[in-house]
Amino acid sequence: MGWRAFDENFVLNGNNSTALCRTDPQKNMKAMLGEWQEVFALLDTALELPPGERAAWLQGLSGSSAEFKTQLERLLAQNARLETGDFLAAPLAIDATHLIFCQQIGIRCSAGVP
Amino acid sequence: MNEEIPDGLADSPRMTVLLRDARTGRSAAFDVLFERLYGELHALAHKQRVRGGKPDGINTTMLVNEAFLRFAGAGQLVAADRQHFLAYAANAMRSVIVDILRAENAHKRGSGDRALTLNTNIAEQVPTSGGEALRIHEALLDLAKIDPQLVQIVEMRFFAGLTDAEIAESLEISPRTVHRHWQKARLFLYAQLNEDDHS
Repeated sequence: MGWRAFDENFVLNGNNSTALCRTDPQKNMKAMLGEWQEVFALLDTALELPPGERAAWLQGLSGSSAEFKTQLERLLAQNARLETGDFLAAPLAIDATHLIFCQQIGIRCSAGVP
Repeated sequence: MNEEIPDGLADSPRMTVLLRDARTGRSAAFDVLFERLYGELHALAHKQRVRGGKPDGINTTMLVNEAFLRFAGAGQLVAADRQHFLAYAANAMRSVIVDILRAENAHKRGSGDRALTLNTNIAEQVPTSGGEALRIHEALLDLAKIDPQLVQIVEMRFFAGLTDAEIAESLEISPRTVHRHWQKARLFLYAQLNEDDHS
């Protein structure tokens, strides 16, 4: 968690040349999540279109949406692969051995998901 | 105290009231609801195991359904509650699974035991590993910041094994919308778990 050596994570603070501050990883996360939000909005439109019409729709993107063209193209191709793949294809089941183990060591699982 | 639920329900607010209050944004009701669902699902999972937990895994859909029947049998829920019950139960189911995996993970870390595995409800499908299930859980914490409804859909479909039709009814959206949301959530999770694919 400590400060790392000089690298791209450090930038000069414009107002005080003696102070260094690390670019906030939370901020990067925020940017990443914001980007996904925009991508999701575009995917809402794309996924409602018949697959045959998606390429034309992508080509027609303009303005700020056009920035996401490549990303959307990749995601739509990925989505087609995921539809027939194994990833999250089946719901989870609890392996009985986990429960046996839990009981053996007397775990009381009481924490919650926020 | 979780273990006693729901047999000691007589003195507590009915689940049907808690469901209504939780839906209208009362977080205290949500907390109580969560605790009860968590305790019940956890206890049912253990009971199922004692009854001869099958090597192919304990089906979470069955646990959720059984929990509903038990609460209904105790006069805590009515048939009309089922719709809303499912979303809350799926959330608690996720928690039960995550806690079991974490506890075991922590205990086994460094002991050289076999890697955690989780079966799926369907035998022919490639199982999701316990480690992967935990990473999905963590990625969902980020997804919640973008769209909490997508998280609910993943909980209901992946952690509780509900169908698109059941999810649609529960969340009062069309099955088509459920599927679209599912596709978006799955793309997000895939990207988070395979970071090279998303730059």
